Amino acid sequence: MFAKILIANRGEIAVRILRTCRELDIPAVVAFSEPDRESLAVEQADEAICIGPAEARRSYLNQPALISAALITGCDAIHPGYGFLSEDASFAEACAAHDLVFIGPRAQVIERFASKYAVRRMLAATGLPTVPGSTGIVADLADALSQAEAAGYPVLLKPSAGGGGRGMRLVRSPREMETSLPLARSEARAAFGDDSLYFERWIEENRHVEVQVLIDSHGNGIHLGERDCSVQRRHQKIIEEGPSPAMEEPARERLRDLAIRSVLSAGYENVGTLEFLLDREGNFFFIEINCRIQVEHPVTEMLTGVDLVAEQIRVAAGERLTMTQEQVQLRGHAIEFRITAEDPLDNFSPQAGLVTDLHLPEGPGVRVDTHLFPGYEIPPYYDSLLAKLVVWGETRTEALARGRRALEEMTIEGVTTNLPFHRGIVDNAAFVDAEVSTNLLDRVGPAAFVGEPA
Amino acid sequence: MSTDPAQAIARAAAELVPPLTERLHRLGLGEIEVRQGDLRVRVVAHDKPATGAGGRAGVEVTVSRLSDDGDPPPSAQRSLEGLTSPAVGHFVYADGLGPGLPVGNGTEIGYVEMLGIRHEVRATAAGVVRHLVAESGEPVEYGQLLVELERGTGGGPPA
Repeated sequence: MFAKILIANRGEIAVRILRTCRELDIPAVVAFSEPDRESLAVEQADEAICIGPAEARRSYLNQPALISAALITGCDAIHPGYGFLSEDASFAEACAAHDLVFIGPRAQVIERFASKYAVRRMLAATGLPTVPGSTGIVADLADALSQAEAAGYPVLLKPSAGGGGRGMRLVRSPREMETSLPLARSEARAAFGDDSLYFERWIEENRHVEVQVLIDSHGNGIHLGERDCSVQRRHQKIIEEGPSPAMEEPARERLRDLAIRSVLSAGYENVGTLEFLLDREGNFFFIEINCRIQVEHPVTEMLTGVDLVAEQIRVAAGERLTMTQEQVQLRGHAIEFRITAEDPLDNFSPQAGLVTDLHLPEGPGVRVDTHLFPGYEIPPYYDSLLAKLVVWGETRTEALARGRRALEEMTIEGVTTNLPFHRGIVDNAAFVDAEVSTNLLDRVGPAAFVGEPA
Repeated sequence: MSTDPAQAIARAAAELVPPLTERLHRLGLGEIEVRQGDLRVRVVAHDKPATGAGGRAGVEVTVSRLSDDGDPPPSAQRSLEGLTSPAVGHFVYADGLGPGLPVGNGTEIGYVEMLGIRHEVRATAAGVVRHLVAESGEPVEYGQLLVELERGTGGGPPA
């Protein structure tokens, strides 16, 4: 096991990782940028080290600074959290070059699973269904037009190097392809330094379902069920739940089983999430794999009782899985609400400011992962996630009731949050009846879901 | 105006310490000292050393009367310039650097070695080296105070 871990992240996930380090009795060093000096993770850490100024490029994305910070504090492993460098093969490689363990898949594994298109082909070859689309990176406009004709419009243009929904464009006709292709290319070049694009047929009215997997470096792997992340706004997840309320047996078991068998045979390792689109008829199509711990991992932890970060650390240290597939028991229903500093009444514009008062919900079946405290100044430089409220119930109905109750209990004063949106959607018929598709919010407008002010 | 020294000290502390502390943290300095009348207020950051223990960065405040510690009253405002680390690594002083040495603006006072690459630390004003805050060879974090210069009284040629 590791002697000391450097946490190369911030916010709630830095606090989350710190908790597991404590429980595993591994000292942890939190690497922070200047505006994060007064943060909860820094305060709670065994040690903390400033790695650069506010700008992420010079701090949380600064590979030499992070590696040097790990070395001078005597760490032998780096946990990247999610976002920032969590899926960066060059960082994983740089860590290895300095005898540091990157807590994630090894560099060569990340590299093999980095190109979305290549992964789609690789996993399709192992029997996983994929969405009809281009047979490779689109060469030019003529190629895009003829391939889109074959796959059928509408199609979704995607940057091969992208992630998190950035740089994607919906194209409904050949005419739109002519205007969208060059725009998508320049966006991809600007955002990812790589302008390769591919496309897939756009399945309207789809749901987003993903399977959590955990694989050790000895070839043992298990799945930990699926999560349904259909409540999205502009491809950003807002609410996640598990199990998916839109799937039934035996399709659910088939999805979980295909997912784990497929990535095992493709040589994946560490924690990972396979994302699928689910159409109205219940067909599922693989879209991509995320090679990191995800924001919504607590949903799975509530269902299984497994500490995914602990398992991730053990697997990265070369240990064997401590459980078999049969020992993984999924029980009840869990829902996660992402509480963000965004104003739902102003097009979800990001907010910053001082948290003057805070009340977090408690009680049976409630978990809150957050880095907030009264007096915390939310810096404007980073993402707007403030807290993850996760509720559990024996049934979805019970989980929804708990969610409703917990959202009412929760108060964050001093900064505008999306809490009113969540309070509205837990009472919305489409959400309650599990009829939400990923495009619903963008189609109807999220303001329609904001509850009346209390 | 009261002449009670205890009251004067309390008032100066109440007035000056919060803005000085804020400034100290905002600028990433190690210490700030100001003189107001007969009083000297000094705020020193207890920044966590790179390998130090946990706890939030705090400050130590000293308010003293100049007539008590025998310092002459300031004829001109002395201004301290803190030089901080531009990188995360091990800090090494330039040869021959020591307190009292005059330096020009731009003079190299040392470097931080980060993964084998030297990141130079240079004087940001002409002045005299006053405190060597860091130890040579010490692991340092980004923004850590390394050296304090007393600005303006130097005269060394720029490097």
